[in-house]
Amino acid sequence: MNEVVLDASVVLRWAFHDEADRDGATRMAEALAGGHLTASGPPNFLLEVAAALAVGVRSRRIDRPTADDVLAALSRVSIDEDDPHGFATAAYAFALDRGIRVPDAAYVETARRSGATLVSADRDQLRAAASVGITVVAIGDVPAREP
Amino acid sequence: MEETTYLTAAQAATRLGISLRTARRRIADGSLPSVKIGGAVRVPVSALEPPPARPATAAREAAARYGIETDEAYIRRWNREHWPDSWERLLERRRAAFAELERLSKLTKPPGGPHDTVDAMLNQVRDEFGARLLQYLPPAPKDDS
Repeated sequence: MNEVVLDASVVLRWAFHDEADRDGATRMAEALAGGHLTASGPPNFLLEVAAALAVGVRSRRIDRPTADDVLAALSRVSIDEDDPHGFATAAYAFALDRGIRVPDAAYVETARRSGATLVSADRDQLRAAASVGITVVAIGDVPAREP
Repeated sequence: MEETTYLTAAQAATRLGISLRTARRRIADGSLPSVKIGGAVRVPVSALEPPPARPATAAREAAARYGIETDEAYIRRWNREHWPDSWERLLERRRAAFAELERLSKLTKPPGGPHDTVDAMLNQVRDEFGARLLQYLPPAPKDDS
């Protein structure tokens, strides 16, 4: 079975309907629901999603009860979170080496540790991951399901 | 050689084909039965083995023994209590979660502009979080290569 690290930019597309490249995120969800993929993320994964949802609630793109339900549903998707031990320091070093942000680097570090494919909407993050030999997929490059 | 009655979390994870972290999480939330032996958490082998009869049949037999009505709710509860969490059950949960997310996504508003997309929201969070984290972490290890 193929293992992927899903960046929060992919996961958040599940919760917001009118987003660019949402088809690719939907294909990922279908593969996870069908048992064709396993997914993992860094220890800060759900915290990041929660923080982005809070931004969405404040900007009124999503109301509070819906955001609460989104978080609850995401916890049932069961994305494995990596062991936090030593994780922050590794992500931090990678972020400074490659000029990307620490939270972005956390996903790269997860993929590096597990040998998984990194799937993201963030091209800078994907470029940094590819530079250290990680297989990457841009969510915009995932083909939509044929009607 | 007689089989061990109790397994460590790692042994149970291997038998179930799940990660150690997932096994620990399921032990913590109770979906994978466990006991404490001398302070160590152990998973009974019986929790990983299917019941002797087909679940529905076994449930009905147990229900009949105790004079309980054999309805679907009872069978579901019996299965949940007697069978360990399985890959199939995980996928079932996952499918339900995605259906719920699809429903919820239709309750959200379209972005008001580029500043309001999920990527923009995430960027705001990461800029703030990344900057704060750098204040607290120790210096990066030196690269000796």
